[in-house]
Amino acid sequence: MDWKALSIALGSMAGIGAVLGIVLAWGSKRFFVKVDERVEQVEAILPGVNCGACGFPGCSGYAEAIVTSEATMTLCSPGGAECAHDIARIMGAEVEAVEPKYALTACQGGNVPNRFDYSGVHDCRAAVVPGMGGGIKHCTYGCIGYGTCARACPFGAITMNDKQMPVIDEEKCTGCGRCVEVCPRDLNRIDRESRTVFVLCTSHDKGAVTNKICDHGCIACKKCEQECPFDAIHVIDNLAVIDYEKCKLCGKCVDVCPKGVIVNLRKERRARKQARETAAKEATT
Amino acid sequence: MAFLKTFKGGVHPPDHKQLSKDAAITEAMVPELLTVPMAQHIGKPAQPVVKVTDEVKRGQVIGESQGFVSANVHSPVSGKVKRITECNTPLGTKTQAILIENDGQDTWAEGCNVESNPENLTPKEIRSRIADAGIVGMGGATFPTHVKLSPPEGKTIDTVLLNGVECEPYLTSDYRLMLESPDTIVKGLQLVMRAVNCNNGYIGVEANKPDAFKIMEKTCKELSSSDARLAAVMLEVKYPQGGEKQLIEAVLNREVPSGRLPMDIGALVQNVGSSHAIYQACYLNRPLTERIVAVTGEAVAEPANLLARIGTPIGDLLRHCRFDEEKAVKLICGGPMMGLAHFDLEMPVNKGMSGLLALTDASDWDFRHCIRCGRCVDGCAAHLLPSELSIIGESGRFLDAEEANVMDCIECGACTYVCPARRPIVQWIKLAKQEIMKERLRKAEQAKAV
Amino acid sequence: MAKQFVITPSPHLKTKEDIGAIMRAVCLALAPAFIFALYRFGYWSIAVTAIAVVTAVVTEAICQRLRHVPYTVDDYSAVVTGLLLAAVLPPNVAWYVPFVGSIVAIGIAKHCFGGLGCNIWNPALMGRAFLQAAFPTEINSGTWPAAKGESLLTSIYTNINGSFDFLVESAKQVGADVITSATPLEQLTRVVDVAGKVEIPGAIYVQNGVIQVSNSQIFDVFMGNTFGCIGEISALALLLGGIYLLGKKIITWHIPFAYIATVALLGWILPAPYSNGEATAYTAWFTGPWLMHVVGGGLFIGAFFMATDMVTSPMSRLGKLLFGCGCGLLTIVIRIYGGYPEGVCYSILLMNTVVPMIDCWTRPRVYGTAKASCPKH
Repeated sequence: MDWKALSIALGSMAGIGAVLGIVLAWGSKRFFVKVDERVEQVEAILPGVNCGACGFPGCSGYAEAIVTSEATMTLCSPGGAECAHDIARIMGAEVEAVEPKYALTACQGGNVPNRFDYSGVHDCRAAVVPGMGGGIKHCTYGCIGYGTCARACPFGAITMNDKQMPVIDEEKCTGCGRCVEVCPRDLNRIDRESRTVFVLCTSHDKGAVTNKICDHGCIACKKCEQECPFDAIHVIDNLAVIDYEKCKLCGKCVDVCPKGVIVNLRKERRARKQARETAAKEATT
Repeated sequence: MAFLKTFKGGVHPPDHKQLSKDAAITEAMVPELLTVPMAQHIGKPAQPVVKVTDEVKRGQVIGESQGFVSANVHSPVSGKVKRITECNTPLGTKTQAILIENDGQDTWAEGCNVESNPENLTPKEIRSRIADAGIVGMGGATFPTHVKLSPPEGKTIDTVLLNGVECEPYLTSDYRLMLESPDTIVKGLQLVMRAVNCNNGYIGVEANKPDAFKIMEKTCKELSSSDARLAAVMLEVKYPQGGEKQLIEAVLNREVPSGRLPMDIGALVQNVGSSHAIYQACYLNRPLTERIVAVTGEAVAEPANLLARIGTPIGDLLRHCRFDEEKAVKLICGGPMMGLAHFDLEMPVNKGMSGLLALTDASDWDFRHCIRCGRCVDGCAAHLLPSELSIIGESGRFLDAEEANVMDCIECGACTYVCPARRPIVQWIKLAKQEIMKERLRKAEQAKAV
Repeated sequence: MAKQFVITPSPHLKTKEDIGAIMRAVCLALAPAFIFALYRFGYWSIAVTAIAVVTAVVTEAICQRLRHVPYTVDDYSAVVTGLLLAAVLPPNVAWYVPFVGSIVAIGIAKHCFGGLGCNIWNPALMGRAFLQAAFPTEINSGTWPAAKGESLLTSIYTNINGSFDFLVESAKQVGADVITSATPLEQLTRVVDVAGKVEIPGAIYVQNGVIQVSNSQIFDVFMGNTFGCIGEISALALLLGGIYLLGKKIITWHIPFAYIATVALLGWILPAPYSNGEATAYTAWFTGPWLMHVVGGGLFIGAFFMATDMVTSPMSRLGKLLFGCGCGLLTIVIRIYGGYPEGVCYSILLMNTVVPMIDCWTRPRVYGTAKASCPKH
């Protein structure tokens, strides 16, 4: 073996390594940037999906905002109460309990007949570009059904059912609001868990028209308006609208609605909440 | 063969013009009930100024223009206002509309349909005549004409171009108009030139319409004078030769800077149909209440060029031309390259509807991945990379499309026509533009809030 | 219920020329070359082609099944890949060579990158490059059927140099069915200075520092009376196919023109190494056998069919010219100075690699703007 060649090779490699190591060591000292370590800690707690629900540019942006400019600690809806609590612990502060939020689609499909056939990009936003007919269904307020919200959801909480309507899985939904942003018909809304009575229709078509084309559309019959003991629901421009300032979530309007437009989610949500709480208890014990 | 003037890029779709090119312009039947939409132009919709049960005369203003970029709407018939309601429009939007019951008398409103000599009109008077007559770009863009004719202080127009190119396949309305009424077109052009104080006027005609070119050339020669030089220019047959920017590039070899208007480089483009309407407004005091619609396509038994009243339902025109409702798969308002598909036979004719096609070909959009053939790049008249835009659109990164100059796209459809992977490029581009505009609006609101 | 019309986005007219039509046209354009191969090499060459094509199509279907994407074998792109791969294989290869080559071409070079439209390298050439590494002896055996249409391996006549007719004649005289010989390009790379003594008719040699190639030798090669791969030998047949593609506007003239012109120009200019009996010497500048470089080897199939592959070539016209020039430069450098007699395969693969860069440099200037820029992504 050529020991001389070998030693030259080894020696030069070691030399280069030593020089580069010294340069790097000096550089890391010289150009050291002091980072508040709490930023990193907060970022580690955040879910890291960069959904934008907090209004900051991504999770790292929110973490920095919490530490440096004292942004509110409860803005992360995917992280929920637990996340806010952990952040508060790092920041040495107290937070109020955060109530979970869920998305909801204000349209139930209702077997609306089609006006025409469509062939093109299957994206709800593309279907409302002027000249694309505005969705194949006769109702021009309701869900178009191309699943843009389902594709946009960062948590896989929205699936399209066989009627081409979005179904939101509240187990997975974090209330981040991506689906609200992308829906061209503005059908999705985010609301807190305890609010359980909703009007699932947005049609301003005249009652007779809606009655003809949709099984679950508001026909502006005003039965809810008459039934409500708190004067909290009114038919405005052919559509029942709940005034949540007055609404006590009694659910009387739900029972009188002939079209099943108004829903009360209390039972399911209560069951889920209980299940969640028992699970949490078991985890602590 | 000498090289004809043209622009860079473009494609050659089959023109299908033989269906209706020999059909002389005939008057369409005026229906019992007309639906006159208030938004027949780009800009603010007109505001109805009549009430239900009002008696109206033909040419009477029933919708008043709102603001500068807007246009008047006139009653196309005499009769009674039946209802004010909503209707679909050929622009793909829903708008307020006035339903007028036709009394069959066709009585003109006072002062309308009276011959007058516009020799002594000042440029300002010509402009206000055009504005009063509710004239808009009749090639399909429906931009209010009086706005185009009023360049802001400091900008001068040195050349007026009349667009007789009609590069869209199937369409023959401009062609028939050039053959049958060349002098009104040229006189309209002279009025436009007087309105903007310029001496050069050209009429661009594609080489596939030699008879129209010859007759326009002859008329131009007859009416040309030393202070208003007129000429017809023959252009290469290529789509989209009739695009405003492409016509300017071909005839004047000038480019409209990105995001600016033709008036910024001293050019003004008018459709020949608009020019005819300007003639009628200034010489005959007739507001714009009718237009020529080429009713054609494979599902139409007797293709025709119909002089139709604004507000006539498209179903009436199609039935007039004996269209086969069973055979027809797609209805298109405008040409097949840029026109929009429609489903509503009750939709009325508007000022910008140059053609009405009933096609038998469904043309589904079963698209594949881009194979980078580069045909869209060669065909793009705006010199973009449509393949790149389509990939950005497919992946939903609409804001990246802005960086790839999507806003310079003229949506002519040449890229999508040539695409062997059958990609709906134009739809993605329109979608990206819509999302970018939404984002801009959002940012502007944010800036306002701060 | 009223009639329902169809709403689709504009434009409502679409060209009839979809991907399938383009690929079928390419298949048709390759037909003359394969008909000639059948005539020259016999049925086994067509069997090799069939194996390559069938394997390619089946591999494509399997890959699409595994990737859970729709089947698109009806677009003929796998057929074209199979044909092109077979075209650059020698006629006497064993059955597993095209089989493995097609699997690599479609499975690895195409579907591992995302299928048609996403591949960076020309799949057929990747297959060929793989085979070159995996089966070097099979690929470079240099044995050819002696008689037209014969392919039975009985006895072998070996002679490196000489014209086609001379070799076939000699083989017949000794009763051999197979000839072991160098392709014209191999002969070019092994030229020696014979000091004017030409013993073998049609041989390529060096005299006074200039490579001597007879016109009849070039004509033979052009017509296909030579040795080489299945689809490569007849420059004439390939030229016919190329002209058909140009006429149908499937390809543009930019890549073939730039490629062939660069090869011709550099083949003429550059001095080539040769052996003068003692050491390596170089021929004089501006004396290269450029016509032999143009008609010999795989240049025509490369220039008309491989480099023009839409997926792996630049999109703009200027980019195509640059791409063609780059291919030509690399081809001639490999041929004259490299270890391989043929440089078409590697030059195109190398240039495929820089296509994104070329596309970036040659972005068209957007109408109404001052200059084009390459965006960040």
